[in-house]
Amino acid sequence: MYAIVAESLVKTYGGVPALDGVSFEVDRGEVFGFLGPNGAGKTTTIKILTTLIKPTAGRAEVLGCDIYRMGHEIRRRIGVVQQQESYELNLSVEKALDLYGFIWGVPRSRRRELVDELLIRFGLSEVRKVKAGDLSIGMRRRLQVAREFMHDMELLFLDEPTIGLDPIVRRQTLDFIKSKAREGLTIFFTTHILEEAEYLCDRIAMINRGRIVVVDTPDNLKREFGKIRKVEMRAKHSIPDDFIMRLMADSSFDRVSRIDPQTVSVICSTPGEAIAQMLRLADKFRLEIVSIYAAEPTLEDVFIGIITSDA
Amino acid sequence: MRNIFRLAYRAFVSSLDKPTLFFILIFPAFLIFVMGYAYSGIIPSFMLGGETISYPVFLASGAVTLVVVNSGMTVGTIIWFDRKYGMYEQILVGPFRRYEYMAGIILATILVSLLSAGLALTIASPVLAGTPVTLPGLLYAGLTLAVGSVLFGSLALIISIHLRSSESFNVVSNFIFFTILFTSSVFYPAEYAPQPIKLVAELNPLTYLADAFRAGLLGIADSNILFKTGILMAEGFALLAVASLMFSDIKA
Repeated sequence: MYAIVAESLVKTYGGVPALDGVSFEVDRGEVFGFLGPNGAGKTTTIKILTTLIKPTAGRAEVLGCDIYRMGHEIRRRIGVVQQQESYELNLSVEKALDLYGFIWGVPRSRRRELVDELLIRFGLSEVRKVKAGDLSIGMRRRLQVAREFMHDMELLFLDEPTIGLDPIVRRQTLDFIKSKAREGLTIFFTTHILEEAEYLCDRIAMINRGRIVVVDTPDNLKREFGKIRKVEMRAKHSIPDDFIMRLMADSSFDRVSRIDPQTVSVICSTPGEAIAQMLRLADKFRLEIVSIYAAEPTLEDVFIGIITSDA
Repeated sequence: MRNIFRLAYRAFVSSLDKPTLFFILIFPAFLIFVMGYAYSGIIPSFMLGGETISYPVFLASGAVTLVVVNSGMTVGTIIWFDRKYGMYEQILVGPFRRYEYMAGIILATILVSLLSAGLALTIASPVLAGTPVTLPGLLYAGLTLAVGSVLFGSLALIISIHLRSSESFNVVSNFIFFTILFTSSVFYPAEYAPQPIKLVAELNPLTYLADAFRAGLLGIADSNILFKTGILMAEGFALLAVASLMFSDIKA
């Protein structure tokens, strides 16, 4: 049984399509990544699945419940961390956590345990008495993510949850989410940061201009679409401009960039030929090479390749 | 029902902190002890509903109803803050229905209003000492305060739903508050006012609230009291209906 089934979802705003026939399934216990550029339809999809808005056409089921008829039942069993900030200006961090648990009907003793645990987990202990309105954006984001774990849920929607977090807290947050996934929580995760998706997700859907372009595992996506490679060469001394110009003149290279005075990178689909060409040129220019290698494609390379080819 | 109580408690806690409560109470306290006594030197006791009443007592009882307006505006506007700071959508993706969210706010408005009015009455007790208060009169006064809180809470909801920018929200809510205050019978009996002001006062729900509350609290005989109470209730329900309609149209 799927956690989410979306079939041909369409949403238009004033005749302009935000979603144009989106279909996908999410397995129970799966961490499902939803990737796309700004305005691709990620948040609209989440709003439909969390029953905040109705689609113009199409159907969807969340946890076996129809989004049109069983919105309340769905919302009772899910958690949502929205992309936009959400907090109560006047409440302290611990009061905000406690109050959120209260409105979800969590018993007082359990709330106390959860507040203490989440304050530590999300590094909020030192600001537990500080009002949300006085926190930094990053701290408020931590509070917002932590707050959602004040109640039980079967499915968690995370709409770019790490916006505003520094790298260390981001990793801690992802680790916490991953630990929840291991306990069986299904997660629907949107992000712009592709390493996050690669780190967290079992499968990834890429959406562009309201349409799903591809759905697969991160490894398969890289295998399938990661033919584009980056070859990077580092010389002992500064690389002359003529060297760079000669590389640029080669039509088989998609992009040539100078990283720093001693380093140049080439984006291409034939890394072997690129390395051979760079070695020949280095010999001609009498350059002493420190290193030369073809990097593995990252999910970012795949993402850019797919979105660019879909444009 | 449980969801409504939970959301009411949330609205209560998140909109009423100590500084807010202090400012809800300091204004009527100022009216009661500064304006009431300052003006008593030039405003002699006067007849109201067949009773002789001093200006401080008149103003003190009116000031308590002012607390209801203030409380209603404070709690009713929580929806404005919830929308601005993202809690509105956050609650709607939780296990709550829209009407529960709104009912929670109205219930919290009533609770905060009655609590603040109770505190304001305590503050005013030195002025009101000696007033023959009866239990039915007190219950009636409490009922009018509850109806008044629904009315002004609904008015605050309408303003909050309609206005999005903080600038227009502050300007409009202040304008409405002071217009309602100065054209009501909080400061003066409407029947003694010049005809144009009397006309405006008769359209002002705070006039009916202040008159009905005084009638209950001070035991002032008023032959029109049932009519005034009826108007107050009708206006309260009308504003609640408008607020509900506007609320149901809010797009997530």
